[in-house]
Formats: sequence, structure tokens, C-alpha cells
Amino acid sequence: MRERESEQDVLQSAPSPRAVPVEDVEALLAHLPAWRLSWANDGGWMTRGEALLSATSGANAAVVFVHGWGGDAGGTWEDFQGNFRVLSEARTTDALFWGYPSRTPTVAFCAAKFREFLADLLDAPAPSILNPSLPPGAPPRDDGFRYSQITLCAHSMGAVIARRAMIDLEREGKLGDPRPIIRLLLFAPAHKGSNLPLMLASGFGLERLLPATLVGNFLRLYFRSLNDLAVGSDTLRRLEEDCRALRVSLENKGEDVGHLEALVLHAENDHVVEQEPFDDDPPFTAVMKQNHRSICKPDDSYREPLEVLRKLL
Amino acid sequence: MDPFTRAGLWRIAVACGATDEDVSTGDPAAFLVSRWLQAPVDDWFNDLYLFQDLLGERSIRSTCWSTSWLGLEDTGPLPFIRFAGFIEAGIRFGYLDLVGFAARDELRVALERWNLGDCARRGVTGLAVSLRRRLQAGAQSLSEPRDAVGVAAFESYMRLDESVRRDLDLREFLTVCHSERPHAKTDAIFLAKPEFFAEAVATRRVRRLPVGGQVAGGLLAVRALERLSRLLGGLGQREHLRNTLILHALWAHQVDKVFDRIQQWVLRAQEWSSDEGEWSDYLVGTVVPLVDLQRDLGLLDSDWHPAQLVNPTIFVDPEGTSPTEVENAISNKSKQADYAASQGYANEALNLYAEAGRLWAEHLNYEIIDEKAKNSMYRYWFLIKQIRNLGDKDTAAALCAVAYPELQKLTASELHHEREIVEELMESLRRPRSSERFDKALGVAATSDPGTIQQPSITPPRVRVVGATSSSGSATAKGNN
Repeated sequence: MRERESEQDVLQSAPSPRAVPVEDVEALLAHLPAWRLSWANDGGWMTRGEALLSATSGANAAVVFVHGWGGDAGGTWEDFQGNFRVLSEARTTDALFWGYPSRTPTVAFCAAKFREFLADLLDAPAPSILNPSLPPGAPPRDDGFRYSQITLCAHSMGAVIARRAMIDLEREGKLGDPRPIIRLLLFAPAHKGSNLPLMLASGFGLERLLPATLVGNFLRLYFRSLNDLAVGSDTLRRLEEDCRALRVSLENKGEDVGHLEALVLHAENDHVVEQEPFDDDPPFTAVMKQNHRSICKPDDSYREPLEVLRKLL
Repeated sequence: MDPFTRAGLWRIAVACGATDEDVSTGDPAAFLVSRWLQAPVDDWFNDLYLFQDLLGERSIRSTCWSTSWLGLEDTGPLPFIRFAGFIEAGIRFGYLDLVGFAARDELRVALERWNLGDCARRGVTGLAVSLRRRLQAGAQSLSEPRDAVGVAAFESYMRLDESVRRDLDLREFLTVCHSERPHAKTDAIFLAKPEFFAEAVATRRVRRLPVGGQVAGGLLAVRALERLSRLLGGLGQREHLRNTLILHALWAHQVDKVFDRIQQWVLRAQEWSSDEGEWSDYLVGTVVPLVDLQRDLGLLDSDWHPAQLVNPTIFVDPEGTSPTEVENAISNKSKQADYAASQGYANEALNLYAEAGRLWAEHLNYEIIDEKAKNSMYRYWFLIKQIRNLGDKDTAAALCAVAYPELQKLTASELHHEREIVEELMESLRRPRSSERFDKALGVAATSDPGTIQQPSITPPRVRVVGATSSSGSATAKGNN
């Protein structure tokens, strides 16, 4: 242990190298303090999520982040949350980190709840989601506020949930009028199926310590709902069939299908999900030196996720 | 007070237990004054002298952690210390600007009321002491330059700290790591088989035996510490801010105790399968950086180094068969076994001692002709005794038989009082037995014939070396081929 003097050094408040002080807080911090994401029609479904809402008067876009099996809004998107504040393109964009119980309910059920959430976000975001998620003292948004652009950013199982919700909203005609620009950005999506033992191991973080396949195989006995994500499952087969049928139908009518086609990133060291193409998605971006977990965690040396998001904003 | 600070104060209050109803009152200063700054100090736990004694006692004994000291509890002064630490850290990261904070005098008085001491006390009250000094220094110290990166990092930390505080499984795991109760026996239950581990994760039981939330909590702790390490790494050269977060994360202090336990899990799991997962990446990315940072700040409980346990040479045969290489491998295995035994992992210790014995029997079964050979024989005899003391007399006897003539000489010339042990072990070979470890270690087919002395299939080589390290080529004879 170092001597007490050294500990004292730590306690001294020393200025650190950083930006020049700016008097105007709003000019420096385009977003309000992060606050708990609340949804008026939640009904006790959501787990802890977070809203990082734009402090500017020109807010017009939202990015909704959807974690995967065993993840959570904080852990999965930690690095996105940290980086969102410093993206200049995101100054007028709200970030909503959606949390949900992923381990027990079926994929279909999770997707149905997410569809309801999105319906509110499209139809009446201010009273149902944004104003309940504002930190104290922040001015409320007008009840008539609508987004002009929404990006769904999902990881692993979250991609299946996002796609299912999008398809069902389109079928119900609830994508808003006028419909905002909606885009999908998917990290290591499980929409073509997954290796279930490894998915379980990844969801629990086992792979850091233990032989993942071995323990994951035993865990399968306890988490049967995950079978929805098996390669060739009814859930995934129907998802792709529905997506294809809907896309073809819209294309025949000359309508936009951007909300059904996803930008996809797959990782070199991801052995959890299948990396085959889904319906008519453009070819995926192959990310080197990342794995199933780290692909959605940008840092100083791994910037691809932020660059892709930046282009969408 | 700027609106960001106002909301930020509420955010910190929520992280420390304020409810939606509290937040609806509107004024964070008024709330904080009524909740923490003017609260009566009238119960026994809040007695500041007792608090001081607790800290002092625990610091002296290097056991400042007990079941009630994760720094996340809602008892006594701990919430206030955590809250004050958030305020100090918030200022340092530019999240808060207290220049316009109406209750700063009350905050200062409250901090002065508690006898927090003038030193860091192993980091427990360090940030609160800093905040007290800052408030005493006046207005010029109540804000620091602000930028989006610092604000984002502080929010990330608050999010992590809250998630640890909320998760009861994680807290249970950490609490047991820091308690003085040995956990090896409990851990051995769910580490016995991979299916038991999975069952414990999913159901908190192994068969009918409750094991609590520690297993799932341990996995969450692994993730939380990884998040903390990434967060600290992301601060780059901002050492002052990095140290600030380490000081505040009381739940992560003495992280050597946590990693030590996790390493035992990894070690045990390596017996299930040769797939060791991503442990080596985790070591490099999380364990080593956190341990090093805490060592620099004097926050570790011991001089712990992860490499002591996870040494790849331990789990494989030596690369070569020169006496030096084999001796090194035996030495590694023996140290590993000693450690496992000291932690209560008897089965792992036995396996490692037996492995070391097998290596010796195959490669170094020297005839005692000089001091080096004699020293080597001493080490071999020590292994045999350890195996015997841990209860596996069969394996001990088999290893004894391999070098019986030399052990007779050793105990005849020097270790007289241990001659009986040698004879007792040899005598035990006359009775029926079956030991998997014995078979595995020596490749001996057990016989149930009670009338014969089992002779291991290893034919003890007789290698004459003048010094164990001098003639690698001559020491390569293997007896069991």
C-alpha cells in the first residue's frame, strides 16, 4: 500500500485536461441529464431503462435501443450512452434505452410489448413517453410533438423483437401519418437463428469464465422460451416470410420499404448467431476483432457502430 | 443554479434512494436538507464516535469489509457518505456546479458534524472529506470545467453503481467474498459438475440444497467489474477522475478478494473441459487493470497477483523432459496444490499433487547419489505426505511404491520418524482398493486381489545424474512405455 501522503494526493481536487469552460451549459451539453425511461402504458412490463433527451428546442429524431437476451439497457448500451452526448449529429436526437425482461417471456410476447411502445412513440410520444421521462425542471414537450425520424438500434434477440414489431405495426397501419423515416440498425442480429447454448452463456456472461457450450447446454433445460431463436424455428421462419411478403407488397405499390430492411453488423468472432442474409437486407458490414457481446460497444479504437449511427442521423 | 445541476442533484438523490414522490417536491436543496443534512444523530449506529471506531478498527485489521460494509447499505452514515461522494465526484466530472446551490452551508455543516477523519481511511470516506474541504474553501472551489465527455462518464458510473446497488444477488456474492466465512465448501457444491452450476444459476439450488443467488450474482459481478474497468480505461490520461471513481466504488474495493474467488471457479471449471472461455481476455482487460489501480491506491487486501493461479504451465505437461523443465512443472503444480488446499479445495489439491507425483515418478525417479537427487526425493516425499494427509492413502501408497527403495534409504538415513509412514503406505497396498485418482495419475490398473501387493505399471527408471540440471538427455527415460 502506498503511504498516506499518496492517498491524500488522490483526494486533492486537481484540474484535469479538458475543454475550455463554457458559461452556457446548453451550448455545451445538448442533452438533459439522463433520466429513467418511463412509459405511461407500461403496465409493469419494462425493466430499468433510460432516456437521454435533447435539451434543444429543435428535437426531431429518436433512436430506440433494444438489448438482447439476458442483457439490460445499461450494460448492453453502456458505451453508446457515453458516446451519444458527444456526437454532434445527435444534438437534436433523443436516445431511449428500452429495458425489458428478456429471459422468460417468449419472443412474440416481447415483440408485442415493444410494438405497443413504438405505437405510442409514433402516435403520442410527449404524453406517453417523453414527458414522464423528463428530469425535474425540464420544459415538457408539446402534446402534438411528433418525430420526423426514428432509428431502431437492436442487438441480438432485440433485432428479432424490433423486426417483428415493425412488421406488425405496418400491417396494422400504425406507423404514423405522416409516417416518419424509420430505419433499422442491427448488431449481431439473431434473426437467422442462433447457437442456443452459446446464446445462454453470453446472456449470463458465462463465457468469460467457463466452458460456454458445456454449461449453456445444461442451462437450456431451464430457459425453454429461447427455443424461439433456434435456427429454423417457427418464430424466425414466420418473421422472414412475413417480412418478405410485406416488402413485396409495398414495393408493388411503390412505397418505401426502408423500415423493413436493416443495416446489419456482424462480428468476426461471433459464434452465437447465424450470419446468413435476411430477406432483402443489404450485405452486412463485417467487423473485425469483435465478438457477439462487444460488437455494440464502441470505444476509442472501435468506432464503426458510431460511424454507422452517425450516417443514419 | 443552472438547470442541468438542478436536475443532476435530483438524479444523484434518486441514485441514493429518493423516490418519485420526493422528486415531485421540486426543490432538491430543500429535500436534501430535510433528508440528510439536518437529520438527527440520535441512534446508536449514527454515533459518530462509534463510526470512527468502526473505521479505525477495521482499517487496522485490514478487514474493513464485513457483511455490512459494501458501502451500498441504507444504514448509519453509509448513505450520506455515498451521497457526498457522488456530489464530490459530480463536481470533478463537471456534472454539477454548486456555485448556486442554496444548501451548501447545510451540506458543509453536515460534513463537519461527522468525524470523517483527515485521511482517506482506505478510501471509505475520502471523497466526503474532499467535499468538506471544498465547501470550506468557498465559492471558487464549487465548480470545475465542464465537458460532455466528463458528464457522460459520470452518468455511466452512476448507472453502474445503481445497478450494483439494486441487484441483491450481486450484493450477496460480494458480501460473501468479503466476509470472513469460508466459501470454498459452498462453492464446491455448485462447482462439482457443470450441470450443478447451471442449476444453481437458474434455480438457486443444487438438487435440494439452496445455494442462494451467489452464482448468478458472481456472474453479474464479473460483468459489473468489466464495466467499471472499461469505464476507467475510457478516461484515458485523466488519472484524477479515474481515481475518483475508484474511491467512490466502495463495493469494488479489495477486488482481490472477489477475483480470487472467481479464479477458483475458473480453475475448477477447467476440470470440466479444456475450453477455458475468455478468461485470459478477462484477465488482461479487467482483472489486471483493476488490481493494479487499486494496488496503487492501497485498496487491496493482499499482495495478490492473478498470475499465481492461472499459470498455463500448470495445466499441461512440461514442454520438455529435461530435469529442469520437469522440476519447474512439478514446482508449479505443487504451489497450485498448496494454494488450493489452503482454500479448502481438497479435491483439486489432491489432483494437482497426484499430477506432480506422476511427473516425478515418470521423469525424475533418481537414485540418491548426491544432494540434488536427495533434495528432489525430499520434494517427492512431501507430495506423498500431502496426498496422504488429504485422505487419499491409495494414491499416496502407489506413489510410495514407485520409489520404495529410495524412500527406505531416505527414512533410514535421515527421516527416521517417517519410516513408519512409508511402511504403513506399503502395507496398505495389500488390501483391496480402487482410486480413480490413483489410476489416472499412474496409469495403474487396480486389482481387487487382496492377497497381492499392487505394483504400479510404471517401472521406476533409475537415472543416474550428477545434479538434476546437468544432464537433460539422460533423464528422459519413461518407465511406463
